[in-house]
Amino acid sequence: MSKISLPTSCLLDKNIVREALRGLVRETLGRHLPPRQGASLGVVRALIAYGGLLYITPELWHLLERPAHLPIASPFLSYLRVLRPGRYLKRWRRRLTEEGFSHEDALILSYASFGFDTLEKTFGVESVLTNDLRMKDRYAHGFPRIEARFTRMIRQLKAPYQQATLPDVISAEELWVQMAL
Amino acid sequence: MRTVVIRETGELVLPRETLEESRITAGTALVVIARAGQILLLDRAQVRRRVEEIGQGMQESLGKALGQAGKDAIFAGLSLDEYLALSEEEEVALWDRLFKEAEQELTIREQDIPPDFVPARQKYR
Repeated sequence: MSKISLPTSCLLDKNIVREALRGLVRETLGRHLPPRQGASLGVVRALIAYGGLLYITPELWHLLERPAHLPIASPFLSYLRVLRPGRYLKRWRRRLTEEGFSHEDALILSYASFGFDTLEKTFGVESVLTNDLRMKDRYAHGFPRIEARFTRMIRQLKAPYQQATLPDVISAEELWVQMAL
Repeated sequence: MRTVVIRETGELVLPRETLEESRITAGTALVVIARAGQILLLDRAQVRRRVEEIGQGMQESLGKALGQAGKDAIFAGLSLDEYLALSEEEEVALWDRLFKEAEQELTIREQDIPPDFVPARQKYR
């Protein structure tokens, strides 16, 4: 028997999608997959198999749905959902930028707390799945400060924003090893 | 639906009927997924098969798309050969540029989250 802790809702960052798509192309052509591509593709498929909700940002969706990108992106799109920007997303993104995150990293982390899904009637996600170890480390090391700042911010907000949560940030390779499929 | 009680030791004995209905037999490797108020036991082999089916579906769909594209562009104006020839640095730079463009084309318009919405972490855990 094996025990794993699987996120039920996951926000995929751009690098996960990029590596997974590249991996899918190589796999379809019968080529060898480098570890990160294999892990990204494997984790995405396994989370779908376990019934997890896989989200991307509207920006990434906009990129993928362009006709020029559809030949490669289309096999993936039907499994993905888009988080909509909820109020305070920009405010939290600004604060994360002040904590040293890049504009793009701050955006994805902010969607992970203030992006919403009208079908599920939920907001935020449990985990951000990334291949960006620098972002993951910055988040882990700065977490006490980030959490304190987040708590201060949401304390002043009304429902449902005051219930907002911070995500876990996990790497695809880490989760793939845990799944051991 | 049946009720079982977990023993002090943490052991759980599943009724024979439950095992028969689930077609899970003694010795089957199970994946245990624990969430607040829930423990899911999944046949590891079945999960693996499901992952393979999803993979096959994706491959078939992509294979068809690549077949239709032939020598034409398949991503960002690049043919399949050009796309595969990208180094990792070139691919990262390409996606960074495409993402920036997508971001510029979209304006973030924040919307109020309805008061009955709950954090995903709270709903599923």
